[in-house]
Amino acid sequence: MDIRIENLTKAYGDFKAVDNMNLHIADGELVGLLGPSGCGKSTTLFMLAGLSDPTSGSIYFGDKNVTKVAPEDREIGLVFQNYALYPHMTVEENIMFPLINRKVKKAEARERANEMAKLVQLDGLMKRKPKALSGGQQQRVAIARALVKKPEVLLLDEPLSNLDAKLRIETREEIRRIQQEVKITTIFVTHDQEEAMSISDRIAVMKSGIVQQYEVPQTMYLNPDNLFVAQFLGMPQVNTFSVEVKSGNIYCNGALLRSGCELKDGTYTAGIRPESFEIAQDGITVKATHVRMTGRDLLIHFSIGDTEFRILVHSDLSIKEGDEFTIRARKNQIMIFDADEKSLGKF
Amino acid sequence: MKLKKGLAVALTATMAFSTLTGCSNNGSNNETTTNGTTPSETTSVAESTSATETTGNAVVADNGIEPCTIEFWHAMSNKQEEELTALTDKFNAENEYGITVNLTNQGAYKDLSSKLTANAAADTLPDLAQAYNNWLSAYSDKLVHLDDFVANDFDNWDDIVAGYRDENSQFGFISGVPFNKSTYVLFYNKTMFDELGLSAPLTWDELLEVAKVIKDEKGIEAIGWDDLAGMFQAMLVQNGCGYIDETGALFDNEKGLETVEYIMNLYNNGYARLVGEDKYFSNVISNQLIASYVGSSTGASYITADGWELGVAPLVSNTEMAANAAGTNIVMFSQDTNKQKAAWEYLKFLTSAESTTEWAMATGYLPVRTSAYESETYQTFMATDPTSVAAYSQSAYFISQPAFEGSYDVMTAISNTLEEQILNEADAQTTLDALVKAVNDILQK
Amino acid sequence: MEKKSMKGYIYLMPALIVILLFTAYPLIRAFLMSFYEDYNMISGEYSRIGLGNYKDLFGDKDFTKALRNTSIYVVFVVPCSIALSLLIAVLLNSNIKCQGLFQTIFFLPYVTSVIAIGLVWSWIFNSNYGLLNIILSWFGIDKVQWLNKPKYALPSLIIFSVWKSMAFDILIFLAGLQTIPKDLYNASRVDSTPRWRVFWKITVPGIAPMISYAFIMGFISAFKVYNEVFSLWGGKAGPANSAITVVYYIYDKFYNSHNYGLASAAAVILFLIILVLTIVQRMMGRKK
Repeated sequence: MDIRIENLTKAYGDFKAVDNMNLHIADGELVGLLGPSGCGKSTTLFMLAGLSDPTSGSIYFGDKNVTKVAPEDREIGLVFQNYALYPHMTVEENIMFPLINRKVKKAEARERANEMAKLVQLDGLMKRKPKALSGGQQQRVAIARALVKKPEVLLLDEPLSNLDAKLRIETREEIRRIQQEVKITTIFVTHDQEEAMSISDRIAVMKSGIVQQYEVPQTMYLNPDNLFVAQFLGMPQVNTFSVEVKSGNIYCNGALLRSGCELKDGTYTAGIRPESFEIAQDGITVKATHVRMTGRDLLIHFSIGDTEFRILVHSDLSIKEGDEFTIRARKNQIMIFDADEKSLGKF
Repeated sequence: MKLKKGLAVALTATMAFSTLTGCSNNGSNNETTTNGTTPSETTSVAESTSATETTGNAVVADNGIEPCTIEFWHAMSNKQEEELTALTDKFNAENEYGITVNLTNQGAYKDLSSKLTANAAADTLPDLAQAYNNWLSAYSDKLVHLDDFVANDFDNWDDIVAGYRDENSQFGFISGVPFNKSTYVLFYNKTMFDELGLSAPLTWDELLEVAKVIKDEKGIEAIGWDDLAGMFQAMLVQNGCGYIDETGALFDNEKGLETVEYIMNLYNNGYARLVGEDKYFSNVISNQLIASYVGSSTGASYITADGWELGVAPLVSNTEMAANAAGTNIVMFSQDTNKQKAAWEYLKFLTSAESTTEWAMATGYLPVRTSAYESETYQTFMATDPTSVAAYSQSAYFISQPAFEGSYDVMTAISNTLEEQILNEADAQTTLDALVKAVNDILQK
Repeated sequence: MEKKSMKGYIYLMPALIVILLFTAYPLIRAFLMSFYEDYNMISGEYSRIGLGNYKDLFGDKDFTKALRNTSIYVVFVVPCSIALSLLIAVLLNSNIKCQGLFQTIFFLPYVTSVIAIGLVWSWIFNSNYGLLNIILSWFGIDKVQWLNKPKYALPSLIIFSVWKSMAFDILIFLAGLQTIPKDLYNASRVDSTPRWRVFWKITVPGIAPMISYAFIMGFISAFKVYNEVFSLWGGKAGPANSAITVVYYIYDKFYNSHNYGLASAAAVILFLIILVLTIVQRMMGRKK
């Protein structure tokens, strides 16, 4: 089932939580809605679920216009951020619940529930009550419950935010695995860019209710459409600074970063990812003001003029604080943004 | 876990019992603080006017009473309390012995009765108190016998209305003096009666005739009684039949049956009705939904005669006349001789012709002396007050509630039984049997 | 360690003394008094110690009537008021306009004096010009003698009491409903749950502790019914004592008849009944 969002808007008075959104999600895709708090991603998800009414616009599941359709009739499964498991029922009853409500006979419901439990690896926990389960287990129950009625669309609201770091990585792989096995169109909401990047087929980055870019993760990472996307993806964050372009040469505080660019003269905002610098013989000599080791990498702070930068190198290199070294920007890795923060390309 | 359960049990027990203990919490109410015994101004005997004794003062002069404070507990309110306070202030100012009577309002009759009971148990009774005789049976041994006082230091005991003298001798000795007395009278809608060409009924037969006319013409009941036990007692006496005594019912006979027959006749034919949800007949008659009712003479002020004239008549009679007397007497508990004498001075004052006339005119209660009824002042008053006229005309036939142990229970049982039988529209024999049983179950235990 | 616990006792002392004096002592006294036959509280004399009062008690028609009335009252009032309160609380909790206004209206009975309420209801029940009969007449029903006929006495009392006890129950249920996470209701919508199943499977289990509390407290206070009787009939226990309750009986025997032994015996019986009921309820609650 593919999903089409057309001119979707949700307004509260003058404030637009979701502003004229257009998106097409292909059948069987796992799409991440990514953005900071308040960007409208959860609002969008709830409109997709039918729990919230759009101010204007439409939503299509396949050929069907479901904008005015109630949640119970939309054939969706929804996993809440806090799982929303029914506390007074066992795991088995929780999973069976949607089926019972659709008048499925108890025996069949139980069978299907147990099937689903196997899929999410919940064997042996069926007779427990939710409060006797760990966070990760509760989440799997929520997923099982969402999927048991074989919906057309699976929606997840910040599914990993309540888990600890290690569990987060495990669980997101699980979600991916389950999604692939069942081949269900899935949309999940998150504020964690690493999470979105690691499992999504495509990511929609949102800010203030507007989709900034909708793209395959790797492409979006390497070629952000605007400054916001560039800054949002990537850890450690991209270096942003202002540059002067004169006769096709890019200068930062007097230091030459690149020459021979097809750019008009003027002042621009530029972005270089920390890993897009390399240590080289010819380049700009800088001094390490601060060095931080994070196991595999070294993150070194330096300055060009009064602008601070960070470079990410392998921790093999023995650069200490105060050391001098020479750097240059890798080929085609300098992102240039115009006055509207739109990308002009990479140089 | 066991401790928790035990605690829970104990707490539950506490909760359940808090009803009972809540009631018995009043505990022993000590006497109210006495204001310091300030001897009032002594005025020379010759100048003090009507307040103190006028005639027969030979005994008075050398009584040798020392100044003291007398505690008097009452249950009067509003106008009645005002008048009592005025009279008491007068006594305090004018008595030659420096006696100060201290009034304490203990609330309503129920409250006063409970307080007396509680204080009797703690032996902290006041010097004087208003009381109904049937409150006192449990501690009648604490009452001061007033026979000697009456014999040696009272102007004319026979001037006290006969019914009241009898009532105050119910314990076999003179237990008190009458104070705020009322009687049951027949209040009726004079306008309605005149319209139908009727006059107030004076006999049982006349009542039946009147009732029939009212029912036919107006479709409402003719009469009601606020106090069913009182009605029963009065009617038995009116029919020349006995009521009750310590041994049981005295009406299990032909005359009793006649009386019950008459009563059930009235109710079953729709000539009389119970007060029910309206609580007091003064409400019902004010709305002109009943033609007359029998109630206390003090109830006149509760009737709103809006657009109709209120008439008052004495109770009907049959072979005898009988009218219920109500209201308390003042009894004495002081053990101290001096205080007893002082208290007696006050009682003489209150029951003097002048005081009782003033009291009656101000409050709507009845004078306790015949001479007061016949005084010019009161006769003039009666010309404007039909209630007192009706009361006076039956004052020779007052009957009081019995006061022996169990009498309250018996009266309640009679009222309840009558009410039940009337609601069941029972016949006379069934009702009589039920009444006899109710009375004897209590008295012959 | 010793010092600490001594301090605790000293702080508790005033309250303990009050409780011992005014609750524990009268409790024990009442229990003892129930065995004094022909007890005269003023002189302190009694004829003998025995079960005479209890024999009289169970031979007294009024007491059996009071027991019967009170039991019927409890059986009807408690479940009815809890069920109605639950419904109203659920309605109040949903997004209706003027929610605050409705909450105030429904809570008013709790803060109003029971005597005042009784006065108003005795008008509502009045057979001639009462509100209830007027409304019934619109449906062609004849005047009902609510407060005049014995057979309507208990029903009137029950209606009045259910209305009165709803206020408190609504309040605690509302508070409980607020603790149920909204997401549970959203999840139930996605799961296509019909309204009644949402109520039974999600709402009711969510406030189960409150419901259990309401039942226990309801039963206990319903057994002690007195104020409602008093205020509805202005001091009487209904026509021909048809609405007499156990507490009314106790009060009447104690204060009017001065039969202290009998009243105490009745109080002991009431205490035992409530005690047994509460233990049973708690046991049932623990099983769940």
